[in-house]
Amino acid sequence: MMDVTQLGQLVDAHAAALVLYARQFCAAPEDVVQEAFVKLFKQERTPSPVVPWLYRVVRNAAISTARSEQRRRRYEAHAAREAPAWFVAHADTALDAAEVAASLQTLPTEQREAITLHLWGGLTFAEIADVVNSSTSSAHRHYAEGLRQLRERLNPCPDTTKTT
Amino acid sequence: MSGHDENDLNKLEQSLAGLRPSAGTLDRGHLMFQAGQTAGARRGLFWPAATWMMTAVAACLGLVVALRPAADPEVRVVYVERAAQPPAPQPPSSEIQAPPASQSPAESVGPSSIAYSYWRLQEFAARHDIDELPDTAVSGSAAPAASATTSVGGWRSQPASASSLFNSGVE
Repeated sequence: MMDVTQLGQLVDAHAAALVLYARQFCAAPEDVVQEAFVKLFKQERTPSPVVPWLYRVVRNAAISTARSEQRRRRYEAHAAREAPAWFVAHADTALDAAEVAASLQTLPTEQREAITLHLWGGLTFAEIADVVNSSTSSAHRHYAEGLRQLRERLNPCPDTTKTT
Repeated sequence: MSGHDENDLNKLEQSLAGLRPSAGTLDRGHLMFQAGQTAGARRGLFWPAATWMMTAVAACLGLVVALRPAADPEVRVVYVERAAQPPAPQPPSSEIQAPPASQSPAESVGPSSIAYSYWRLQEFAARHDIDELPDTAVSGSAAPAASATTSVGGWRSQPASASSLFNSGVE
């Protein structure tokens, strides 16, 4: 069974990416991620590998939450207005975090999932395929297609990326 | 062209990876507290569950005992060995012959009575023509018996029967 130290390390390393991933589906991603960590802590045996397991749990819970949120459109609109930024402002990149978030929202769900899981979740394409119940090639194809669409929508061009 | 496109995608990928996702309003402390609380509540379920289970078992057993039908009376045959009959008591042997039927009613009084023994002694003396009887005041001692045997001649002829009669009288 997982101890508190391991849980704290997992929260520190993956909570933000999990919130970003859950945000692709529902308006209350923090609750979903918190429930996923609590569920992980209740497991008699720690699932292996634990990170894809967390993303799978978050995905299922977020989709379920999104379905129930359809009955609460008023609350959803309110939450959407006060939703925090998807990314923390970072000086190492010239990309505008809000613009990246807006561009991500325009992508199809499969592409958003693949990009989020691979870029910020650190999952391999095989693990992504396991999380989203698809094949590895499909996960890679969705990722590449999503990157191309993002490149077309993002301005300025990635060529202007700052170097530190 | 393809190589340039691939290079652009790699640069975009690196730029996107440089963005740090926001944890939003996720409270780490609250998360850890809720995880510990939930895990503690789960670990504490053993004894309540055991208590409820044992209570249910006890209730079921109580119902079984309360609702079971009355048992039929059991007929048990017990064989008991008959105890052996004790042998008939033998009559005690005595040195004194049973008194004749012509004895006086005073003989029916217990043989330990001094008056009875003295009466028998008198009768014995009269029957055997004995002139002198020992003094009744000292009849319990050995000296008068010795004097009686020395003064009465006929007394010596039957010393055994006389002494036995005397002893039976004074005892």
